[in-house]
Order: sequence, then structure tokens, then C-alpha cells
Amino acid sequence: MNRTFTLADLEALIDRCGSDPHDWPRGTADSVNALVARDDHARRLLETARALDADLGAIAAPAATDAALVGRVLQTVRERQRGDMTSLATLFTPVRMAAFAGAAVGCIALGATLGLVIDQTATQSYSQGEEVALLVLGVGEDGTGFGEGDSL
Amino acid sequence: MAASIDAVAGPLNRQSHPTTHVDTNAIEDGDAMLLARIGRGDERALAELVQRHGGRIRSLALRFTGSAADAEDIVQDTFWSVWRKAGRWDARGVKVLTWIYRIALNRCIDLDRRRKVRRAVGLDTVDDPVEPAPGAEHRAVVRDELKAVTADVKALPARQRAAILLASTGDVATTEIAARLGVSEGAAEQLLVRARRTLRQKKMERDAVGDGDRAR
Repeated sequence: MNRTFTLADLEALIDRCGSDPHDWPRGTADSVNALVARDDHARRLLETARALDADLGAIAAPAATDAALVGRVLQTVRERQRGDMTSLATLFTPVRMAAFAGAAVGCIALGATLGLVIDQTATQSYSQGEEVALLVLGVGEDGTGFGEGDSL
Repeated sequence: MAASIDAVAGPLNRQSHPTTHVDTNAIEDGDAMLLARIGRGDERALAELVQRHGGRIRSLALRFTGSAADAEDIVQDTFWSVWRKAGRWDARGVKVLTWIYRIALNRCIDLDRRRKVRRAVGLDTVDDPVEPAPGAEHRAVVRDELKAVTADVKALPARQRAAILLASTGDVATTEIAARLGVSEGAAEQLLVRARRTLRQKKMERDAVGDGDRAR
């Protein structure tokens, strides 16, 4: 026995497939026709769904591409590509390279100092070479900087 | 009196169902060839791809964001991504247009998320609804209704909005909508069901208010 198509069925159908009978499952249109013929609510529901779909169709209608859009996209691509290359070039300017080199030397000096200080606190005895290094770096035997008049 | 479906609401809205036959395979083949050329740095191929699909991407972004400036940014970003990634693009059963749509929709959804955050912290104001599609200007009532529906669409959650806008172009099946959104077919169907239900309810509320005003 066929179940009668109800208003709730129509609502579910419209929510799932829209209001266009071409998008409905085969055979559904007859059931909808019968319902719409006997039920004003169903008729209004279908009218509303149709009107809404028409509005959505108008809103979402794709526009043609104008030549200006193509031009703007190409211009953007060229600018961003140039920007990428420029940022790479500016990364390696002589001033930046010198700054990087200076920072690297500073890091090495700091590392050597810390290494010597830690070594000094651990053993408190130096070879002659280490003492010269400490003097050059300005670190006293107690691990602090040399004061005025300090000497080896 | 028995009323047929067509008698209820007149002829189908053919605007969303163009009868002209479109050979999607030929378009896809053409897109794939263009993408290969773009991957080799061919600007003319990019221009042709934008010519083919730029308009529809821009329309979608415009309806999604409600802002011409944002839509323009999304189109630029989308094709910049296409330009950069074309050389590494691997089809794996995904159409070029589906991929382009996915890039654009991700941009749309990201922008929407950022907008919400900015609004939440008071850095952004709510946009005015976008003007309705050209061709409807001469009818004030139609324009008002289109404005209202446009505002309703804009109030939908981002993914529902994207799904209903894709579905309303009329030439895409739920499978393709799912692919463009990067979700399962079932999830896409659910997004459409929720979007349609919300929009229909809002329209019925508006109609009821309109009927009440006319009765007074």
C-alpha cells in the first residue's frame, strides 16, 4: 500500500532537492501534484520554495569575466613575483651580509668566553695559552672581568 | 481544482538550468592543458584560465563576502595560488575547476572567520548587503526581495552559504559541491538541507509580515 504524501514529506523533499521537479526522485512529482491540489499550505510552501530558488538563481548567477579582471590578475601575479625576488635580493645586501658576519663572530666570541669561564670555575687552573686567551677576552682569574692594573 | 506543479508557480526558473549543452570533458581537458602551461611559467595560459573561470569565481566570492573589494582580493589570491602551485599540481581525479573553486572557497571561509573575530573584538563593522544581480534594478519589489534573500544568505554559516551558492548556479551536482568544499557528499547534502530550510523559513516569515501589512 502506498503511503500518502504529506506536507512534511514535501518540506523534506524541498529541503533535500530544491523546488525543481527535475531534481526530484522519479515518480515524486505526481505525489506532489496530488498534495498541492488538495492542500493550500502545500501549494504555498511550493510557491515559496520556487520563488526562493529563482532569487537564489539570480543572486548566484555567474558573471562573465571582463578583460579588466584578467589584466588585474596578471598584474598582481607579476607584482607578487617581483616582490618575492626583491625580498630575496634584499635579504643578501652587503650591509646585511656584514651584519650577519659580525653577529656570527660575536656568537663565537661569546661561546669561547662562556666555555673558558665554565672551565675556569670547574678546574681553576689554566694552561699558558688559556691565560692569554682570558687576557685578550678581558676575563680575570676569578671568572670576572679584569680590574684596573690587573696583569698576568 | 487540481493544480499541477507548473501551474502553481509558473514555468521553471530556467536561469539556473541552462539548456545549452556544455561539454565538461572538453573544458576539463582545456583547463588541464592550460594548467600544465602555467606550471611552465606561461602567463598567457594564466590569462586564458582567468578568462574562462575568473568571472564565476568573482561572482561566488562577491555573493559569499558581500564586498566587491574582498571578492577582488579572493580572485587575486586564488589565481596567485594557481600560478605558484600549477607546476606541482597532481590531478588524482580532481578537476582543475574543482581545485580552483576549493582554493577560492577556502579563502572565502578564512576571510569570514577573520571577519567574525574582528567583529567580536570591535575592529570591524557589519557590511551592507551586496547589491542584487544586474538586470533586476528596474523592479523595486524584486530588488528588495533579492536584497533580503542576499542578506539571509550572508547570515548563513560559512559552509552552508558556500554550498547553497554553488548549488544555486544550477550546473553542479551535490557530488561536485562536496568536492569543491572538500567534504563528503553526505555532509554537502546536510549543508544544503540546513541552508534551504533556514532560507525558506526566513522567506515565509517575511511573506507573512508582508501579508499582514497588506491586510491592514
